[in-house]
Amino acid sequence: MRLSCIFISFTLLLVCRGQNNISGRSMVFKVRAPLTKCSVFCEDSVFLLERENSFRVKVKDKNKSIKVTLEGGNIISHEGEAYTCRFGSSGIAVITVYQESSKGLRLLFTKKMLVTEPPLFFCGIQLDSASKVLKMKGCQLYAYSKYYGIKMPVVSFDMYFAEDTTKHSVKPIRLKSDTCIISPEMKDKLLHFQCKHSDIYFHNIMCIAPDGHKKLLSPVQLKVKVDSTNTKELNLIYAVQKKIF
Amino acid sequence: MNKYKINLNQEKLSEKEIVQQMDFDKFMSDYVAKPSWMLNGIKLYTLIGTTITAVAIAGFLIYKTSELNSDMVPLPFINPPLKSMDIPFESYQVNMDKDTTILFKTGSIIQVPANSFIDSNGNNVSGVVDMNYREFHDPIEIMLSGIPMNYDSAGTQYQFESAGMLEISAFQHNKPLRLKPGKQLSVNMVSAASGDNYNIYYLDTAQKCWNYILENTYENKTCQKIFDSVPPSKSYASEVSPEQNQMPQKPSKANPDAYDFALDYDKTEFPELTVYDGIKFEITPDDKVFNPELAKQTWDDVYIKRHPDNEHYIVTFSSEKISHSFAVLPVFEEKNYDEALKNYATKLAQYQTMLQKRKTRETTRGDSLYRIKAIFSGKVPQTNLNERFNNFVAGNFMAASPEKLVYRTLVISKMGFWNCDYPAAYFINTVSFNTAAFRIINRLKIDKIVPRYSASFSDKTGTPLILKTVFLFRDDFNGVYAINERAFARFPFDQEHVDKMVGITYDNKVVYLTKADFGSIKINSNSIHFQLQETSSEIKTAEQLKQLLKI
Repeated sequence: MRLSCIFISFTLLLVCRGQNNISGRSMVFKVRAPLTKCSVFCEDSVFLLERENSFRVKVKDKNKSIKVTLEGGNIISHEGEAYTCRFGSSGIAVITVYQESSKGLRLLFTKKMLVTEPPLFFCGIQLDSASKVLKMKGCQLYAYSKYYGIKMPVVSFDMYFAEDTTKHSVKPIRLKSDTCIISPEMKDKLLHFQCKHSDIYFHNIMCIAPDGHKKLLSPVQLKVKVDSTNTKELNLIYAVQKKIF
Repeated sequence: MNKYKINLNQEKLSEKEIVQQMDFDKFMSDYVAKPSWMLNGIKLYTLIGTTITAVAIAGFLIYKTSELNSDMVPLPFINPPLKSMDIPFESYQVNMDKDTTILFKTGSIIQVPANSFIDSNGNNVSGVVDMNYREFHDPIEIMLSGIPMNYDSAGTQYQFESAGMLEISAFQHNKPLRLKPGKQLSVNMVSAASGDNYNIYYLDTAQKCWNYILENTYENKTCQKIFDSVPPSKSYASEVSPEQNQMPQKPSKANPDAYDFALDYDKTEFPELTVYDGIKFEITPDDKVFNPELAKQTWDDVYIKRHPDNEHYIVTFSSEKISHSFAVLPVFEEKNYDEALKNYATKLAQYQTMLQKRKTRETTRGDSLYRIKAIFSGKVPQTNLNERFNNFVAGNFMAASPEKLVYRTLVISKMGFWNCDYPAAYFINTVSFNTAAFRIINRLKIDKIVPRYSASFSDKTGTPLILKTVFLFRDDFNGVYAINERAFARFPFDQEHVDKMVGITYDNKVVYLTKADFGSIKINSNSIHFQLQETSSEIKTAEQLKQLLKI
């Protein structure tokens, strides 16, 4: 009896299944557009230059074969959905996710992230601030990481002294230092600064991150103005600014 | 020596003798006029004088005309002032069997369709073609090209201010080729001038003039920001051919002996399929590939189009890895036939429209993502300040300000010189006037009546220089004003509108004068003298000259 019930049930199941799509010579073809959902999650709203950053890529689709690219930086490893990346300089980074199929790559998702760098200090003046004095003692060029709470010493930098920067064709004088200290020649340029027509830039500023990797900081400009509030003696105001070329 | 008989005391005639000789009739009848050499001489001198005067006047007029024009039109027509420093071509070998895209060093893109050229006899050219291409972007490159930059518009002479100029040519076996009628090359020229007030011109070397082609603006899409550019949108036009829009055949009644199928779909995903509600698709007896087992799987997409026989349809099911197409006939169940047939034609006509809407929506969605990706990617180099600083130091304006760069699109229908320029007055005056009617202060830029002098030149030591051409430069003007030696007698000069001057000597030396040295210029009422600086012999390239002159 039990065997008969099982046999009848199995037969009915087959019949019902067949009726789902095939009924004699009439059939139903089922069509559903594939839903693909992709999202990228980052730990913070910005990536930090001085450390390794990570993000996760989630794809909701039966085809989970994806390719992830990062412009402005390098993906150094990934495990499952987790990706780890590192940057050599600040700016904009773009994460892009493609789905791989026999038809090629299909763009699924793109996300723009800002890579920020630690602020630079030059002779005691922080980036985007001003001072009346240049502290010429000790390490004259370093970056400060708020994330790690430590100074990141500069290991080399170039100083460009440009006589007339209104013209691109004017070649600035390039002075190089392989330490965080300005050379005597650089010091001479600083002290004989003609603020009306000449500019000083610091470029190729290379510092060491806590993980031991070298990081390239953005070029900055040393701005010098005459302090008009002090009429008794000639004072200069020094400012370090990020320069957009 | 001849002996002359001179009678100093001749006797006076008496009254009688005088009366005897007073027969004037006899005198006149006896007179025979002799040819007078004096009379002939007067006529000859008059003729010669008239001729000389006419020649002088004609010569003067011709001289004056050439003098007026010679400061605008260098001769010969395209005349590089220094052959050794002429802007070099980049050469490319292009296979005529396929479409080719050339990327020029400035980032410009040249698209060459297959089989574009014919030879001088009008024969089609196949195989490999040598294409030469070069661009001119700044005043030094324009000067060295020797290309005339004056433009005549309704009798008024203008100087071209340039957003970029190019020369393109094609050869096979060293013989020049021309474009086949109907064939066009497309050039997206990278330009650092992002203004919207330029036009496209073609240089007609036979007529010796620039011909206006069309405006070069954002509005007509011949100018667009490079970093706003989006990849070309995918077109679905090829999927809908006119024949597919023809009214369909009237559906038949279902054949109970044939295979047929209906569609199970989501109306939000495939809205165009609603027109097939109530319809079945009957597999044609000729279709041998149909397999009922295919109905067991769920498909990603379906597409229906007319069969070439105009009677059947082709239904294509596709998933990620496979696709199958069947020739079918739309049929109705016999019981619904009359009712269904009423709305069939109307509904089916909507299919293509609805399909197109869905495809457009999908394309737009995809394009938006690609557009966003392009914008993001464009920001990566923009925020790389170290790279930008390197370009700034190197003086490479093309890379230093990428956000300012634009593509200027030229559709090339003839080989030769093309430019994106703006006809402007080189010597300008800005004047204000108050129109009484509207009380509006208008400011107009008009041609200044520039003072003209008889010009002479010397080097710093005072040794006279014999120049063949002088070029004037203005810092705020991307062009040059060329003055041929024949116009030195009426040399236009106004310190307000000249920042630099370059002269080319007959022994091909470059001499120059910058604004800082304008104090050495000696001017009196009708003459001017320039003391020019000689360049060193090391200046041999356009780049070196730009460095020297800070242009």
